[in-house]
Amino acid sequence: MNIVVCIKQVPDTNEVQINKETNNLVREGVPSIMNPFDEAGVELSLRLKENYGGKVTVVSMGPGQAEEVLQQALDMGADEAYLLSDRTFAGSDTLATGYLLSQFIGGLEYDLIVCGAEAIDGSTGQVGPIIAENLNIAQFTYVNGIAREGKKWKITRSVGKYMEQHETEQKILVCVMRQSAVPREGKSCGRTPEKVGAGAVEGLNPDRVGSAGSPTRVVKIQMSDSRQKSYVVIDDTLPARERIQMIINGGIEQKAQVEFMRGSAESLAQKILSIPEMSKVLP
Amino acid sequence: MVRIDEEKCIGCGICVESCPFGALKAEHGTVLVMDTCQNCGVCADVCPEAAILKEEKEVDKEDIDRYKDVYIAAELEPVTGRLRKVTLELLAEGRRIADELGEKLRLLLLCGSIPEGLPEQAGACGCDEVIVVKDEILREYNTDIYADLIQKICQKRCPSVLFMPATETGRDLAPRVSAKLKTGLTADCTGFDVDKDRNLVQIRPTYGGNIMASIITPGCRPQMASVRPNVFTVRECSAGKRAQITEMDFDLDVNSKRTRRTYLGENPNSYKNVAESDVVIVAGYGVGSEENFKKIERLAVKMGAALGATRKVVDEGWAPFDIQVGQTGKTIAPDLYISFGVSGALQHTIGIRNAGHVIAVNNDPAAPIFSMCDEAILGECVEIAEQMGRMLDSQEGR
Amino acid sequence: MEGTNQKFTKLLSPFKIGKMELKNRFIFLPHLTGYAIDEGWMDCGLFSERNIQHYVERAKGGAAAVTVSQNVDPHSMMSDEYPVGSDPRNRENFRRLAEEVHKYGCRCITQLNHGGHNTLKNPPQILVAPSQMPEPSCHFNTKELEKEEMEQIKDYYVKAAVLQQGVGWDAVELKIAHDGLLRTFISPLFNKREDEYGGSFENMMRYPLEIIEAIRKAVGPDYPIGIRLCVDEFIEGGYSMEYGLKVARRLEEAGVDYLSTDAGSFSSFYMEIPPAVVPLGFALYMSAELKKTVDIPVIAFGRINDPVQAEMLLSENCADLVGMCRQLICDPETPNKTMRGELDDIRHCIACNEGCLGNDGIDVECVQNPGAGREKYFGIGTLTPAEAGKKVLVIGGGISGMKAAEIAAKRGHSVSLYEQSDKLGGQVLLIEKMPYRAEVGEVYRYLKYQLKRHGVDIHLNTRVDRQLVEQEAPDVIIAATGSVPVIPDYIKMDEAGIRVIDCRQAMRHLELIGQKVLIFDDIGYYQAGGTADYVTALGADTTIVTTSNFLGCDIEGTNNTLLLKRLYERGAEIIASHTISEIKGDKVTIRNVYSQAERVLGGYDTVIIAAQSSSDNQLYKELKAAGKDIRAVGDCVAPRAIEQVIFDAELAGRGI
Repeated sequence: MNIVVCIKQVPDTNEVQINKETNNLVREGVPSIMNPFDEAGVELSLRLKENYGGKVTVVSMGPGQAEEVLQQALDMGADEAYLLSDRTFAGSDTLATGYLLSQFIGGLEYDLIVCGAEAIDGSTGQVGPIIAENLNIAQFTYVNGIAREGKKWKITRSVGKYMEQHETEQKILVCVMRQSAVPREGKSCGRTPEKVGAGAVEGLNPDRVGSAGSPTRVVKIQMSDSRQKSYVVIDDTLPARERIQMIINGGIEQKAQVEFMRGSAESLAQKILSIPEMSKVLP
Repeated sequence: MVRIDEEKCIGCGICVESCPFGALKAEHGTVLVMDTCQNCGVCADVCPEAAILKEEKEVDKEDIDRYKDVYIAAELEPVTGRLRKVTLELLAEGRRIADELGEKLRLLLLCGSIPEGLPEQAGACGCDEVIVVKDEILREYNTDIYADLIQKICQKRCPSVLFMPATETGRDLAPRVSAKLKTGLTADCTGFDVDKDRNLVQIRPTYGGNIMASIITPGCRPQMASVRPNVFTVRECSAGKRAQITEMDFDLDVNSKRTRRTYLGENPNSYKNVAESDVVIVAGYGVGSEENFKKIERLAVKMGAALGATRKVVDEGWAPFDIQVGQTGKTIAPDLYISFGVSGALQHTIGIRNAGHVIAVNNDPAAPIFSMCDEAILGECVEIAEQMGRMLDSQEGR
Repeated sequence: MEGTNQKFTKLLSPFKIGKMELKNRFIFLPHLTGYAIDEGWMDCGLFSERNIQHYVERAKGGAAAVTVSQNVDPHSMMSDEYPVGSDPRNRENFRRLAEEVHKYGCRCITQLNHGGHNTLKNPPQILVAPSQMPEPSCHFNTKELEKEEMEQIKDYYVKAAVLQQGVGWDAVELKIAHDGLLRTFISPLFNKREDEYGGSFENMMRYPLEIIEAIRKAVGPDYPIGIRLCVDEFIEGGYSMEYGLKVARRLEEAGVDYLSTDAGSFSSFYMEIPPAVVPLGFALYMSAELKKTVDIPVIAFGRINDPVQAEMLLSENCADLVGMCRQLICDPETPNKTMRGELDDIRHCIACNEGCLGNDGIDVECVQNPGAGREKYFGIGTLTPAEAGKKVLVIGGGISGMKAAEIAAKRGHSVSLYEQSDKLGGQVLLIEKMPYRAEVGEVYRYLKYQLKRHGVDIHLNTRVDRQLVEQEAPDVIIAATGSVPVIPDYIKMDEAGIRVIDCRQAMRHLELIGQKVLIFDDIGYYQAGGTADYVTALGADTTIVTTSNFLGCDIEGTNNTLLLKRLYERGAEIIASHTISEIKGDKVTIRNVYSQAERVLGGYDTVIIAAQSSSDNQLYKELKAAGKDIRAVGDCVAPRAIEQVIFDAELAGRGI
């Protein structure tokens, strides 16, 4: 059984800093990690290999530094690793990335393709389905479990408040959730990743990779100030007494004491469900 | 990637400072463009010597102008078949964009049967036409069948813009469609605009929410974007209007399904991400025991709400640290916050600060949370939660 | 929280201030200890052995730096037990301290202060200020400093800095915060001078800047100079953060190497050393703003008592370093435990202020940590294993029982603990229901965790009697059976027509509390104060009658100020210096304790009495008489407060 896993090296988004003068991303010194969703994917694939035999191949598209995460996957137990890296790949959006990966994977033997549900930097979750479409195979997103039974794949999806189970005999691509598996620690192995340039991908159309192959384009970025801080900021213009009171309240406006609703559990439950804000959110 | 004209470059380094992605490096009196370049062109704008060129693609204007109107992909509730609220939210924003472009707003519906009142509901939100494909096969969502249909419809109708909800189904379907149409898709947009070239500007958070990116799809159509629920608000701009229904027929073969669904049920252990959820139910020490905590959890699952716990609850071992809210737990900012057995004594550690509407259930009238809530329910929290669960079950007919 | 695999990458990473290397981000903030030796006029403020041990303990516990608060001028000390940094007699002990803390890879920073217009007790001969104005902490007015005196004070600063640099200290910090002279100079509210040291912003900054410059000249360019800066005075008419940031920018310009955030003043002293009423991390926004304003390192402060909280504040760019004071007094090993990932083992400061401030700044102690101020006897490494493991039976699952069990178990004894109710925690279970006192629950959470960790056998819902003791046959028994509340018999109640209860009953059963309540306080502590807080929060119409001269006279000051504020704001009536003589029908007769004049108050439906409890020690006496090896701890010895009962228990546990 052959499994191909797609992984990506991403900046640790918790560590991403904005230069306070220029409002730009400071990439220097930000640690890079394997996308945690992809790590789960590698782990799931290795477990399948342990249970059913076969080979695990890991593929990544990225600059030279991405070799690090491919090495990490090899150390976890993957058999082969390929880095698709070339100047012409730079500036790829999800469509171009999906195209390149599907072109390369199309040249490999595979029964299953595993992707992380999303990457923590872009969080689009698009590349997996795009690869599946290009290779004309079925896809499953929000996967948190996969097993093999005879010639069948059995897939478990977690979709909001529902859980689904599916099965198929065909080749599939799955996009796995971060919590679906706890990745193992790697142990130094003798293998290293192989670098693959544009020329080595058979049938690659240069107009469909890199910026040339990217229909979307970023025209502007700015720092978002919607990110919730865990601390309270007190309005400096309030008089001292009110600043102190706001601090003591934990930054919460003390509302005028509302009247208690009392009654039996049943009547109170009914009252709660009838509150207008509730109906907005009940599906 | 941008290109540096080394003849014109004076090595001033202004571009290096300006790059939002840190993709430029000053070297040997000129500038090196690294792989992280996103071709956004901010550097080209600031270069005093006009020494930087964006990689431009030819845009076939004539071809682009063939594509018209804003289309919304509708989504129905899987069990009840009712129209999901997010569809109406997208119609509201879609109407605004259509008006900016001076074009029409159309709803795309794939279903087993048309939900009752749909033409009126959509029309009231400004929808001009509902394009329907109706077939029993479509009652259950299937990626391949749905994606194929949307591709065919788009090829026939040539939409300029296609909005899809960024629900689980939408995030499964949209990229598949974008690959079929070989067009651009921007996920999880929080805002839109129209630029001077009549391109849709798609705004979304990235890098864990730290950065807002503005994106355009100048050379491809339709311009696809997905939007999460509760980002836009439903707006009835044309009360009483009824959208026109257009039924389209396609040959659908049930045997073209490549996979089979064998089970659909309630998700037992899904701890929805409490930091991202619009509705959060928080259980406090007042629920009394692990068993009671699980009862609150069941209500959360039924409501599709995320579940949070206060520090004391986590300390007792009734809940995992992952869902602790407050000071040393997660910061939350839900639209609706419902607390069961939370005293609010640690006023700063219960995560109420950024909540929209707060409903507090507790049996102690002196509980501080009662001076911080919009609705004060004095009663036995666990019993009330159980009653609410029972009532929701009977509403859904289960 | 055992399950978190949180990595604390920022909190445990090293940092540099100038050339000073810090091994992690934990900084022990400066504070008055009251441990220096006082031998009278001109022979006080002598840095003692006790001072040294206090700081070495925090270095042992893993902090990256300890900051030692000192006075520079022997004529202007906030208290006589405040070390004088410029006194050459302190040189040897200063040298030893630096040497000792360096052994743990910890830095030794001096913080220099001048009493200025503040005092804690025994006011010095003269209180000084930039302009004459009365001082909130005593009945004296102040002297407006003359320029020669200012020069002399400057010399003291330099002398102190040089002295300590000379014996190996790593940096010098000036206090422009809290009490003390320098803050009053920069404060437009306090500085009304008309010479070049007052009037404009630049003038008001002049004096502190002159001192900084003089120190810089003396210590050289490489020695870090930091400032503890008050960012917001929290006084009506005082300066707020906008001004504080302006000062910060000016200080950065002047070449200061770091800023340590601070807030509050003596007039708002509950913002200086905030009790639990003020939320955890309340001041993070201040250091976050400082971080946006200056490029030099910033230390955060303000009810930071947990490594998860600390890591979060660092990752949100609130500060570069995390300042902890009371947390490290309570648990000096917080950094080491963080490094080992033993987060549940960390004992969190409950900000009760009773041990550290409640002693009127005489001696800093801690209600939870017997080792604070007694490091020699109870500090890290002093708990020795028992020679022979004994079978120990602890009767009572309140605080003192749990503490004794903890210590005995840690020393290797085989311990079982019996509690007659279904919960451990004793009276603290009632305390934590009182408004803003929920954090006190940490006292039993921590002990519960220790009992679990050290294999103490816990039996709930089990009342111990002679028979059980004979059955179990322990080698040693610890009686921690607590106390029972008493309604004093001098109150005539035979014709009472309303409910009369004690405060424990009130806190346990809120349905017993009516709408018009009279609370009688004969203790002067939290029993009445906290119950009054709870009863008024319920919305009852409340009268509090206290025999003391003011309500809560024995409650620590920061807490009491805020408590009285809440009670008055809620419309409570407080009658001081009165006792109760009779309750008849719904009327209560009160009597002035001085004049004996009586007065009748009426219309109540509930009377809650807070009087001295009496020890519940029958079982102890019985078992002792039967010849058992038994010791008593806690309230069953004599009803007291958390600090005393924990200390009792520590001694008992160590004595087995």
